[in-house]
Amino acid sequence: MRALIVDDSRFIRDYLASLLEEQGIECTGTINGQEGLDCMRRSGPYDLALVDWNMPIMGGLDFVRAVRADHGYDTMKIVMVTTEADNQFLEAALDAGANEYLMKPFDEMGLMDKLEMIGAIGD
Amino acid sequence: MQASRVILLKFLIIFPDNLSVDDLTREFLIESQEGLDRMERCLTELEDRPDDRELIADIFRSVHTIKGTTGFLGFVRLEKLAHAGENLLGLLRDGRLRATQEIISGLLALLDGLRSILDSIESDGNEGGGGDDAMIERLVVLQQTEPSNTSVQASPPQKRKKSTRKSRAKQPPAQAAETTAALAVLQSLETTIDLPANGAQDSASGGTAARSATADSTLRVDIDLLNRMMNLVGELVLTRNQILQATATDAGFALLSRRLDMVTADLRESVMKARMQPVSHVFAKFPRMVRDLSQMLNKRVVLEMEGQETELDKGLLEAIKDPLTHSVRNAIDHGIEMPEVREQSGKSPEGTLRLRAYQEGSHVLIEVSDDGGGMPVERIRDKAIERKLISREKAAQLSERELMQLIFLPGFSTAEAITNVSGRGVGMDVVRTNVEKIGGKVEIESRPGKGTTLRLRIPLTLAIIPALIVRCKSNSSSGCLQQSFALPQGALHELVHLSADEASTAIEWIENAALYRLRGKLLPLVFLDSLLGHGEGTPAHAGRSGETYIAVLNADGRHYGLVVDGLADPEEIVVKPLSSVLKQIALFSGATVLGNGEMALILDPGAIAARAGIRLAEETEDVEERRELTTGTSDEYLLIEVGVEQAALPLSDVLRIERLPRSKMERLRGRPVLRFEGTLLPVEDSAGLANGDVDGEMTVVVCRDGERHVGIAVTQVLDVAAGSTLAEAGTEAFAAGVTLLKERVTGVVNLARVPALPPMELLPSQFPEQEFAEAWQ
Repeated sequence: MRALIVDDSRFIRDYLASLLEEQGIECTGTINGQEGLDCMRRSGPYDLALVDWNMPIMGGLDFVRAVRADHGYDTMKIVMVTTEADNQFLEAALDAGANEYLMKPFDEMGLMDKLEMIGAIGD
Repeated sequence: MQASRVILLKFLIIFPDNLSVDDLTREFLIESQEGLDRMERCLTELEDRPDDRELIADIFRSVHTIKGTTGFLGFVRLEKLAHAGENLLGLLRDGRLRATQEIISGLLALLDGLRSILDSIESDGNEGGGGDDAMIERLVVLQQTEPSNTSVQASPPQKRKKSTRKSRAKQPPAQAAETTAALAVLQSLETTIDLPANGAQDSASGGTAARSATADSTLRVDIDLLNRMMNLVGELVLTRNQILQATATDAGFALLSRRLDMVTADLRESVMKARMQPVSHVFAKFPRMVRDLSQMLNKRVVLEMEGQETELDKGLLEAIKDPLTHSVRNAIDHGIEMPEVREQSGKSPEGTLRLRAYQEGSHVLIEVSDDGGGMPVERIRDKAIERKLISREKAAQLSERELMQLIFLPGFSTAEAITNVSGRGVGMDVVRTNVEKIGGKVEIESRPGKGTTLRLRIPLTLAIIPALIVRCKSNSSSGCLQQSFALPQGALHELVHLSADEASTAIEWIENAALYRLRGKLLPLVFLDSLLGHGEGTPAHAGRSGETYIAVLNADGRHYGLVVDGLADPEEIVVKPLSSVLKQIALFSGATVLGNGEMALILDPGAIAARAGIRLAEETEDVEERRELTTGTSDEYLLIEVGVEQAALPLSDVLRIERLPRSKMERLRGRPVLRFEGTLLPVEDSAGLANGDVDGEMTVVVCRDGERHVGIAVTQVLDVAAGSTLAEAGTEAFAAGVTLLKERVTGVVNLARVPALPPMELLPSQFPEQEFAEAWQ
């Protein structure tokens, strides 16, 4: 299983990766939506994407829209990773095709719950 | 605090083994500090472009990221403060508020607040006490600001500055924070290398990394690790040097060792490059500082920065941070005038402060220039006298350039002169000391009414320097030993070789001072052996035997020749610190191991000059003319040129040779006079040299004529030569006698014929002393 992490904070990328790799999920980090798309284009679809909301160049919402516009990526699950300040826009992200959202700060349990909910991992 | 600890513990348990809370906290600190640095830059730019959405979005993101990550680590105070800032920034981002001056000031205060909490976390892991209620309240109030309407509700600017300063003062130096943080992260290098570097994804992320040049194509490297690498490279350089010497005779090995030589050189260069950072790291904080200072002083200052991409060794960059900061403060506080004053003198009310960095050979030059009033030379002189740093007599002899150098004397700036801005107990002497400590130099240039430029000359790196190996004989009881010393190439101008024959005649002695005439200019000499206590006392050297080399040095504005017994090859030496015992001798800047395995001390040209009492050169080109010619033998003459004629002055009567701007010459009843040591000096100017270009310079030889002093204006000083007086020959009006100099008949100037001054009461009054309101520190 491969996961794409799209977040401009190195802290969040490392933290997410450390939790996911613990589950045997292979992770790739990118720093904004555009880099995320480029990365997918090069190495094929991922099973899972964890996407920050607020990033330079291309934010999370535009990333979700771009991914969902391409049916080649239909199987990829997208989890929006947001803070409460982003929450008001969450509906837009879910409308655009994000599968779930995860509120910062989260812990391992919170992350695993969400991943189970979208069927990314079994229990 | 208790609560956050609990959360921390909880995380400790669930974190995978390879990523501890400490690692994450460090990561968080580094990222947050970077974010705040970016925020600071953007905020200063926002002042000029308050409607720039990109800037606002950038600032928003910085605070947003801190808020988003701080929750993971349970830093509640930080989260609350960042949250309040985020709300305000959100309104700005959405265009519901306009970035007014007050809002920007508020955000700057927020920045300071966030920084101080981060600093506290960094130092002891806690957010520190103290409430942010006032700050949060202020941010909330700012949210209610009407768009494009400046609210008076918000805290008055006066108060802002105070709180800003306070919180800034509390901060430990930011650089220390960065270093510790960077260091910490590197201890867990494997785990913190960014994700794309993880094996399988290499190909996928290759392009990604290349594109995001700033974010991910760089790797943080621990300074300690780099230092260790540098040391190892240093050792390699030494080993290479030894191999080069050992294999010089073997043809097969020679090829091999040449390769080793090349590889070592390349490796050394690469490691050194890894230590380089752009000066923008230091420059970045100045826009904010200039803004705060100029507001506080009610001055208007535009900051221009140039050459920010110029790179410098990380360690050196840290070392110049403080001197540079101080210089910028000085320029704003003392250099740039109040807007009204500027307008009165026909300048734009807005002063310009220019920071410029550029590389010149093996040095990086950093200039801080202002277009202010220039340095008040007279006041500097008066202050130096008042502080008893220099006697009134001595001060009168100093040129403007030398007077400016007085600001670098320890004790020049004192408590009374400390203002809010410049005064932090740091004077220009500390700036100079700090810069010289890293092998750099400070130069100052100032023109009245036009401004001042302070130039820091910093070597590119310190760890490995090119040096010339010199040898010094020591006649110890155990026989004649040769000791090697390393002379840094940076200070070395040229080498002069004297054969055994020449050595005994070419070095001239005036009392105890040895001089060498280098292309017609007198160069004071320092003997390395007597300096080290090997020689038997100076004049004995008059009868030196054997070959002699003079290394012509220029250090700390002092120009002199160091006499050594022999030279070896130039080598790249690795500078090792000295033990404190050797440091106390204060002639050496370090030690090194030479190619032949021999230990060598590294000579400190500046310290040697100071020890030997070499004067500061007035102009680098005109050193020799300032040399005081004390009583010489009566048979020696100073050969001068006046107009087209040559003439001679008895050396015993020559007090000094003064090179001065022509504007210093004054006229009294049509006769040229010169102010000299508090008296007026009649000047004999038979060739009308004082009538030339007023902006030019001229040379006056000051002579003793019985009880009085007189000046002789000369076109140039040619030489000092021994001559024998010819009897009964003084027929020429100009000459007191005729002498045979260098086998040429030359007239001797009759000093007694220089007309006396008119009666005292007719003397023009001295210039009124100017008020001394502020001082250069």
